[in-house]
Amino acid sequence: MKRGGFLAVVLLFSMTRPVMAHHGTAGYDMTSMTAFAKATITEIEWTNPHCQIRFDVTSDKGDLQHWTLEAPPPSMLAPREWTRKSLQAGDAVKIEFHAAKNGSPFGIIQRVTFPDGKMLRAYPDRPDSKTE
Amino acid sequence: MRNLFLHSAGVLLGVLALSAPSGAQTSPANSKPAAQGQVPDLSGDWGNPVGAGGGGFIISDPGEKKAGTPQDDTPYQPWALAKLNSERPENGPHATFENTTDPRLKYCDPVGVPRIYLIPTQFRFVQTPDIVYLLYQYGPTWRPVAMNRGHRQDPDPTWWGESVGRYEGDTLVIDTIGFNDKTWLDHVGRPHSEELHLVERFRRINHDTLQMDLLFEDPKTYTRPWAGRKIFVLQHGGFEDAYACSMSEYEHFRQSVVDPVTAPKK
Repeated sequence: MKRGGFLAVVLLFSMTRPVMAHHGTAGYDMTSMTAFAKATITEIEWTNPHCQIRFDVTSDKGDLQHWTLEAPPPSMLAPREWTRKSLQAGDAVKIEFHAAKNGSPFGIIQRVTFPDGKMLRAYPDRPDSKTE
Repeated sequence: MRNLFLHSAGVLLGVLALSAPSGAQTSPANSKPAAQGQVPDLSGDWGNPVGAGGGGFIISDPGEKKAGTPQDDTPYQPWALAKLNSERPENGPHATFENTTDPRLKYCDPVGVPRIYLIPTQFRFVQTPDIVYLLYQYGPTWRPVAMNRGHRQDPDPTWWGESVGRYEGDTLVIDTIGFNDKTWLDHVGRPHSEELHLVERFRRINHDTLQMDLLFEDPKTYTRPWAGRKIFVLQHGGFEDAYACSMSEYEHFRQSVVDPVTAPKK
């Protein structure tokens, strides 16, 4: 899956375990992962049943795209070393997620990586994941 | 896991068939005999193993993935299978995001037991001589289990039922009746009636692992008793972060995420 010909990296998984969410994940392509190497965070909603992470990316053509990712609820993120301030508007991060099947700019987050290399996982990595 | 379940379910059914639902003190074969006054230590915060996903749902074989399909050997009464297949859950083989009938997602209704164990949150036992309290991060809510006594006569139906408990060796046995019929047993919509009789058996199989065995008896809904098992692991942090079910937040999430994600592909 390559989105807009820019900054997209695809990680393929063999599907053995779906990521569990408050609801099902039928709306997301859980067989592949999309990544943007430079995403600019615009907003965090620290709410139930899922936190929401919004960010912008700029395409090779200069188009600005607005994305929204669902994330685990605060009660699940907190033990994974997240706080409400882990991501703040203006942060530039690498962000990896499973995108919506319908092509809309939505997804369910897997992890983010900060410029200093620090990584925050929203869900545990799958042991059988591989980078294509 | 399926094989494990089948084996364990058979063992469990066999064991439980020998013990009356309430009052009997038969010890499972692999339990240590309880010394007088000995109480197994169930302390700690319990949750799903890492990587098992929030649901990690093995409450019946074949679990939620085949619920309601021909491969599902849950012993439904005909009306129960029809009701299951009429539901609109957001999980399982008939998952849909549109017009859910899930009482949890639609109304933030109490989830009851055992469904609460399928939500990726933690729980804790507070063991006192007369009452064992189960504190659930989801809700947050709590549930009392009156120890060493029988049920009241024909308790009125409630969301959480009436729970009584006892120790059998190293196992906490919780016996619950008096449910209303408004909750789902799981995320896919397996139903139950007010006749549901649920037995939960908690055993700490090692310091970091808690095993929960379930026995469902509900002849109005299922043709025979059936069993389930779920494994929890000791958690390290996070229990104090309550997970509140808020209808307003859920509606916001639905409008801002679920609806666009589930809209037809353009």
